[in-house]
Formats: sequence, C-alpha cells, structure tokens
Amino acid sequence: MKSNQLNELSRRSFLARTAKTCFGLSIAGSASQLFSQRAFAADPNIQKAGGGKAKNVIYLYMSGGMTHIDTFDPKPDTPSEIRGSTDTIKTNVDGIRLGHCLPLLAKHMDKVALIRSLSTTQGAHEQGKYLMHTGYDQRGSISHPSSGSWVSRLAGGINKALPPFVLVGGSNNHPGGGFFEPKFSPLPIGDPQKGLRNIRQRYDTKDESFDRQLLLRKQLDHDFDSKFHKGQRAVRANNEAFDSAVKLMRSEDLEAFDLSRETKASRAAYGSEPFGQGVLLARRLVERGVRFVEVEFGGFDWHDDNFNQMEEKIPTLDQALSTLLADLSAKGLLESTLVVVATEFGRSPKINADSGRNHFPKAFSCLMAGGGVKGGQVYGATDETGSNVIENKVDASDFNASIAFALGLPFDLPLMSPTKRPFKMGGSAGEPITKLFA
Amino acid sequence: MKIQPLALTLLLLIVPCAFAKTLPDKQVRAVAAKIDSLLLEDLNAANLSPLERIDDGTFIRRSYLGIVGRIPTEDEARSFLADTSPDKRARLINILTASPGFDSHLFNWTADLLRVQTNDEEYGLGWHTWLRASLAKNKPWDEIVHDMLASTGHASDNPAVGYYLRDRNMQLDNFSNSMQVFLGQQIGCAQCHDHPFDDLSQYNYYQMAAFSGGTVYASEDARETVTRAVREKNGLAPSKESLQNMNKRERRDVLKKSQNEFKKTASLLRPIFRNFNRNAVYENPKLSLRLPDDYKYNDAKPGALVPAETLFGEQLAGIAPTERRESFAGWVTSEKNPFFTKVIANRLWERTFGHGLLDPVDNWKEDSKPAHPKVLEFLEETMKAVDYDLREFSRILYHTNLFQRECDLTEPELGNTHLVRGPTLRRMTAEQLYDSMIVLKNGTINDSPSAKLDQRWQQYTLAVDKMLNAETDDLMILAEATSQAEDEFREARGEMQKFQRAIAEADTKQERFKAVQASREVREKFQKMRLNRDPLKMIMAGENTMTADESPSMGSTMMSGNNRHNNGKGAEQSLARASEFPAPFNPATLVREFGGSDRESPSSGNTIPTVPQALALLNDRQTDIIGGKKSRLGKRLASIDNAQERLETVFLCLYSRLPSSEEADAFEPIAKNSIELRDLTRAMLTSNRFIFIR
Repeated sequence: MKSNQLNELSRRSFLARTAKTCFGLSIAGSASQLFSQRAFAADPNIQKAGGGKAKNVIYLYMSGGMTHIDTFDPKPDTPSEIRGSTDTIKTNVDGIRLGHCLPLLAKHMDKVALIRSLSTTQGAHEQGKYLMHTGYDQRGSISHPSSGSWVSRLAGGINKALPPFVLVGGSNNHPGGGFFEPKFSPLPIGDPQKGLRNIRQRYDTKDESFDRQLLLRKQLDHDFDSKFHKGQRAVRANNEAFDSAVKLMRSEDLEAFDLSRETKASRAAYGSEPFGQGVLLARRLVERGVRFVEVEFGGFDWHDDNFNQMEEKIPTLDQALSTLLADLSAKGLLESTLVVVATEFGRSPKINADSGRNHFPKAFSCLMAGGGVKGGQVYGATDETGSNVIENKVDASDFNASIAFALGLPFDLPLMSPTKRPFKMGGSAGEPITKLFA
Repeated sequence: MKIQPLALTLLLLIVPCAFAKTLPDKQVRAVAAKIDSLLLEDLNAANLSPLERIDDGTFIRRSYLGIVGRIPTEDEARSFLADTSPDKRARLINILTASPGFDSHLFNWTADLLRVQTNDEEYGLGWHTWLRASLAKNKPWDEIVHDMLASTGHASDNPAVGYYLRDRNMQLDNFSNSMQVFLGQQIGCAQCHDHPFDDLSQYNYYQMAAFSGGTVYASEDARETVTRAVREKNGLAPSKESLQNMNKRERRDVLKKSQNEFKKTASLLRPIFRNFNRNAVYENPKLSLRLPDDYKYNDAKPGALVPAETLFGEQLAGIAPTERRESFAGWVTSEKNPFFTKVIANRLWERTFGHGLLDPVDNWKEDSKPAHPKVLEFLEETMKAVDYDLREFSRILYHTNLFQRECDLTEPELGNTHLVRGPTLRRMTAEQLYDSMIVLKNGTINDSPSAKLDQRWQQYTLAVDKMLNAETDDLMILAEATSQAEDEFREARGEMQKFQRAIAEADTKQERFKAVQASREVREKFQKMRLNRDPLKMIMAGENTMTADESPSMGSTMMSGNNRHNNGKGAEQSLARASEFPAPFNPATLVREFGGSDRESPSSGNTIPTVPQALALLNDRQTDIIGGKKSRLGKRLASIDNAQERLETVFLCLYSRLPSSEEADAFEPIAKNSIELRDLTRAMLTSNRFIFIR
C-alpha cells in the first residue's frame, strides 16, 4: 500500500519561505500555526485499505506486564502447572474465549480484535514500556516520542482550548513527548477523580488583577527569556505550559475534566477504582475533543501470588473496558474512537515457586477495538502453552503503525530529531496490521 | 596521558578514620582549583572561554538551592548581600554543606536513585530511616552500598536488606538494577538474550547474577522460632534409648506419630510468620542460580547451574557458596572496580552542575568518551582520597570557580559531548519547590529528620522482637486466630468467584447490573480479608502504644499523613521538609504534580513543566504566599510604609536579590498599592526566574 509521500523537510522550507515574506514572524511560530490550522484529513490511500476511520484514541496501558494466558489468550487444555486456577469462558463470538475474570468483556467480543502474537525481546519494565510506547529501543542518546505525542503531532488537536494528548494516572517514566516540542507532551492528570485542579482564579482575584499578574510575569521574565528561551527546551516548555494553562482557565471546555458532571450511574458503571474513573474521564475527554487519552493502570507485575492478584485486579479492567465499549457504542462514537489495551510483555506460562509468573516478552497479547477495527476477530496465535508465537508475529513498531493506520496517519513519515536523525511513528520498519481493519 | 594522583598529594594530611572528618579549607580549595584548571585546559584547546562569574544574588540562590535544597529566607538573603567580607561565598558554602539541610537534600536524591518506597511492606520504613541516618552521619558511599549488597536477615535487625526486598522475588531485576545504579552498566536486556551490541551474552549475565543466587526471600529467624515452638509443644523426638526397646512395628508407629505431630504444629505456626518472609532475606549456601528452561544458546544446557564469576575488573571465581554476596559487595565497591568510583563521581557532578561529564550517567561502556576525561580521572582520585565521603566530595565541587559561573545559554544535546563553560540551567525539583514554599510561607523551615518515622520503625522492631521471642502458648493462640482469618478470606474469595460466574451468566442488562453491584460488596470484603490476615498487625494492635491503624504497615495513615500536610489547611503549620514524608507521594499532591519521583525506576523524578503545574502556581491555595489575612508575607508587607522597602522585601523573598534600578523604576509605583503588590508577588512566583535555578 502506498504511503504518504509528504517530505517534512521540503514542506518546512516552503512554509519558511512563505513565512518570511508574509508574516515576518519566526519560522517555527508561523509554521506551527499553519500546520495546526490545516484540517486533519486521513490519507485517502489508507482509507482505501480500510483504515482512517478513527479520529480519537483511548489507550489503556496495563503497566507491569499483564499475563496473557490468564486473560486474552487462555489455554484450557494445559495442565495445572501452567493453567493454575484460571478457567476459560466463552464469549459472544463463537470460537473466541477469554480467561474467567473477564466475563463482561466476553459480552463485547464482537467489538474487539485480540492480538495474541505480540513478541519483543525486552523483558525489563522500563525498556519494555519504552519500546511499546515509542516503537524504538531505549537509547541514552535520544528521547523518542510516545504514540500519543506522535498522534498529536501528525493529526493535531481537535479543540483549540483542549490539549491534544492527556495522560491519566501516568508514572514518571512515561516517555511523554520525547524530542518533540513541548506542546506535544501530554497533559498529566494524576487522579481522575480530582480531575484538573486549580482551574479557577483565587477567590480574592478579580479579572483585572489576574491580567495584571500575567503582564507582570512577562515583564519580570523579559531578560531571562531573551537569554534562555531559545536555547532551553525546559524554558520553552514552561512558557508553553503557562500559556496553555491560562487558555484552559478561560475555556468553556474545562468541564470536560470534571467527572462530577457525570451521572452517579455512569460513574458506578465504570467501577469506583481510579482506573475505572480514569477510563470514564477518557471517554468524556474524547467526546469533547481531546485527540488521544492514555490511562495507565499499574500493578500487573505478578511475580508471586498471580492468581489472587488476578482475581482482585482483572475485574477492574473487565468492568471499565466493557462499559467503555458499550458506552462508546451507545453514543455512536465507537467507529471514530480507537480503543487500545497494551502492556509491555506477558507472563511466563510455567508458574514459578511463588505461585507467580515471570516476565515474558516472547509472546503476549494486546487488544484493539473501535476506530474501524473489525470486531470479533483474533489476530495471530501462540502455541499450546502460550510460550511461542506461531502465527503473524507483531512487534511494538507494527503495533504503533496500526494505531497510525486507524487514524489515517502516515506511519512511515520520517520526522527529524534535533540531532537531525529521522524517526517514524511506526518505528524503523513497522507495518500496520491491515487485517484488523479490512 | 596518566594523571598523577594529585588529589592524594593534596589531601595527605587527612587522618583516615571510619567516617572522614571535614577537610581543611586550604586543601579543599586546592583540589577545587585543580578541577578548574583542568577544565580550562580543555576549553582553551577548543577555543572556548568559561562564562562570567555570577553576582551575589545569583550565587546565594544557587548555593541554597543546590546545597540545602531550598531558597534562602529573606533574612538569609539580606544578610548575605549586605556582608562585605571578601570570603563570604566560601564561608557560606562551608556552612551550608555542614548543615542538616544538606542531609535532607542529599537524601531525596539518593532515595530517588535507590527507589526507596517507604510504605513497601514493613521493611520500607526501616530502609528509609536507615538511609536518612547513614547519609546524615557521613557514612561513606562505598560502605552504604556494601552494607546493602551484603545485607542479610530480617529488616528489623538489618534495615539495609531493604535494598533486596525492594525487588522481592525478582532477584534478576534487582541484579540488573545494581549494575545500572552502582556501575552504570545497562545489561538488563541480557537477562533474556545475548546483548545485541555489547560483548555480553546471556550466559555472562547469569554468571554475574549468580552471586546472589543463594538469596532466599524468607526469614530464617522465623523458621527457627517455629522450630523452637514445635519442639516445646511436642516435646523432643523419641530418644534412641526408648526406640531401642521397641520392636520394629512399634518403633515405626511411634516415629510416625511424633513426626505427624511435629508437622501439624509446624503447619499451624508457619502461616503466622508469613509476613516475616516478606521482610527478610537469608543466604542458602546450597542454593545456586540456574539458567532458564528456555535457554536457547549452545554454550550451556537449559536449567544448568551457573557458577558465579565476574566479567570485568577484579577477577572473582570459585567463590565459596557462603561468601558469594559478601564477595560481590566487595567487588562492586572496590576501589579497583573500573566503574564504581567514576559512576558516583559523575552522578554527583551531574547533581551539582546539571549535566554529567558522561551523559546519560548510567550507561558506561569501555569505550565511553566523557567530556573532560582528565577532569573525570581527577574526580575519581578525589573520591577515593576522601574515602567516598559524599559531603566532602560535594563541598569540593561547590568550591570550584565553575560553581560560580553563569549558566550556559544553550542546553547540552543529549548524547553529545558537552564542554563545560558553566553549569546547566535547571528547573527546581519537586522537593526543592515544596521546601521553598515552606520558606515563603513561614520564613523558616525544619531541617531535622522526622521523629515520627523513627518512632514507628522502633515500634515495629519491638513487635517483631516480641513475636520471635513469644511463649509457645501465645504463638498457638495467635496461630488459631490467624487460621480463622484465613478461612474467612478463602470463603470470601469463593463467594467472589460465584458472583463472577453469575455475571457471566446474566442474560439481561438489569440482571447483569444487579450481579455487578452485588459482587462489588463481596469484592471489597475479599480485599479487606486479604490484608487483615496478618498476625503481626494483631500483635501491634494489642500494644497500647499504637492501634492497628497506626502501625507502619498501614499505608493509609502514611498516605493520609501526606494529604494532611499537603492540603491548604495543615501546610502553614508544617515546617517538615519533603524528605520527612513517606515516599512516593500520592499522585495529585504538589510534589508529584511537579515531577516528584514515583520511586519506580532509578532517578525517576523529573522536572518536566506541565499545565497542572502552571495552574498550581497560579491558583492553588498551597502556593498562595500572600493572599488572605493570615499570610505571613502579607502581614509583613502591610507593616512597611515605604514602597522601596516593600519592593526590596518581595524581591529578597522570591528572588533572593535586590531589584535592579530599572526594576525599581518599573515596580516601585506598583509597590505603593497593596493589591498591585500582591499581583506582582504572585507574578514573581509564576515566573521562570523563580522556578529555574540560574
């Protein structure tokens, strides 16, 4: 399939020439303005191949390495040294089964594509998480952008006041925006139930005072900024964050972050845990025009007591995910919203001495739904014990290329890092799984 | 070109002792001057000049934030700026480095590096307080690391085992982490396959990991207590004499009966010590590391035993099984280890100046090319000469001219060699911001370690001691209570699974909704039962000094303690620094919002600006240093009539300097009006000048 032929460099130089003659502004300033005002349209070639239906992404990240054979890729015919206490349940799609802790998701299998053939060689948390998010191996010499930042950059935002990328419950080591300019970094929400805090001016501050404060800030920083703004990314980021914050304060779309405006029933349906509420917040944000929302769910690193922890934790995922799918579907948003469930690796089929499972990058499962994904399918397969991928191996770069494909974005468009090296959303050689969408 | 150990020559007058004393100033300055001259050599060779010397206002702010982790108070700034003595800067450096504020600031950095989680099981608290105290009393770095790597036993006895317990049941990850943190080696991926770039095979990885191959995550003390109690309860095993007098059948029956009784009692008692096993390690000389079952290379068989061997530096092989960890600890922290010293020296250089001589600081290869290689070599010699005293080493760095140069306008490029003309501009860390807010709101701060944390740890160690030395009868009662709790837990889990099946089988939406609602209550009960089956909590609940809720393992109190201090109400009263709270802080607290570490990976704290941070500085009650009737700064300004004085006061409080004449012209009129002055003060708090450290 033909890929997008746009060459970032030549486009930039065109804009630069235009900027110089028309606006007299800095190149970066005008180029970014023109770029974002350009309406995002899916690549027609990608659309022909079945992609490009999604406008938004809700990316649910199970941090710690979620076991695959107890969840998305159960193995009912294995002995108990492998299966443990996990039972297999039927779903509403003939022939597709799930682990018994996912009964609610089982009723939505018709919306879901399971990808059972993920395989990488990164068995350490930080490296595995980095690889899944960026499509590249972690190196000391560069900081790659995560998929959310790629989508922000390639597709832009939807709502002018709202950020294009929100990260709910993220941990410190999230790759974030990498080498992209700060405006493509995620806006972090630590606690979905608290939402975006401090959005109102202080009680004693009239508008006149607030405006004065903003003006004085600029004055106070004039010398500092003239020295450091250009050469220091952190200073640019700080100014960017400040300007965005003020814009948000003045925007009516702020209520997007406020879960208290959801009905009690709605909040209960997603589950009372922070993760469930985070997923609800994601749906809400997407409805109001946030392009990409990632919700992180930690605590899947079950080196011991795998089965008790599974009973405790998987139901939270089950409830939140199935409610999300039902909700999106009911609101007519499922077709335009790509839902992703990802993790850094799976867990060893052979149960260890502590009733746990160890890291297992060789074979694991992820999930995609909505956004034009054809539901009720399983892509890829592992052997009888879930130890090896035997069909349609998928790596992190293919996975991210598929996300790009769902949105109709050029997964193989090279963008330059500050050190003049090219990087792509689909990693160095990732190919989208078109079968998910056809 | 070989560098003479000049540092040694310069520091010859030191009397070596367990914890090094402060060095004479003359020597500190001589060593610092040498660092400066080596830097200058390289800059001259590249036709670059060092940046200018910073003024007093910049200096005092940089020193306080860099050395003790907070901005100066108004008085501290005022008196320093007014001081006319020529050596005031050097004196300030010495005062700050010797102060307890230095300990608090260094602790944050070190705890972040080691991923200390205060509320992880019970041991976390002990590890936290042990590390805090070790740094405060100048325990040398090599001893701290050695203590941790060679540690064994229960945390209440030896809190340094926290280092291993941090990665309980993940011995290989723990090993990868040690290599990264202490030796700057990224070998983690070799756990699963031959390293793609370096010369390190998976087998090599296992060879080095094998030094901790005998580590068992369990408590030997607990096992011994159980054995003792079993013997007491059941009497000794039948004696040889009594057995001799029986026929074969009788003998067999008697032995079997006694064995069964032993087994029964043991199986009743063992569960109550399960928590002990989560807070202790011991060495089993008979246990060794084996290759994984799916080992795919030809050089060894899957599941084969791997003998411990080091692959670089001093050769260690054929170590006695009882000596493995001790040898490894010695090898890592040895002066002869090619990476140990340069890694810590480079990390401290990064901590002081903002960017490592080698960057990133935890990825050293044999052919790594640091910027200023001669400086790095000299730093290594210096670190050895000060016996790994982090305070003295830091003090030397603070006394360089480099520490007083302007920040480089352009940030270093990732992964490129960066010649050092001046320090790197950095934003305040979350803890620096938190602590600075305390100063702004209270005019003072408390640098001492938290008595509360120490007390809680004491109480825990007493309870552990109590249980290990308890009467057999008491243990049996405890066992009964625990077993009951276990049954209730199993029942709850069974119920939960039933409900899950009901959900799966529900046909209509209403039925399903009902089933989900019903299951939720059971699930909560299940989770509660899971936590409450711990007998140590039962013992601590019995103590009249604390209730079960206050026991160290109850993360909720610790966390709500955070919240109590971090919301608007308690903040004015609390003078305790960020270092005195359990870490990590909760998400959505001020510290986490500003990038405070989640303690999940080494040095995971970051200073990335975000929108919620900007909102917090603009609108949060916690950052309102001037609004309201109770504001200390507000009251202070109200008591000053003179606009010039008012302006100077806010500049000294927020920027630790006096306004320039242009600033005075621009802002004095504003300072006349209290509302406008309030707005100016708030603007200063949100300015880049405040949150960045020049």
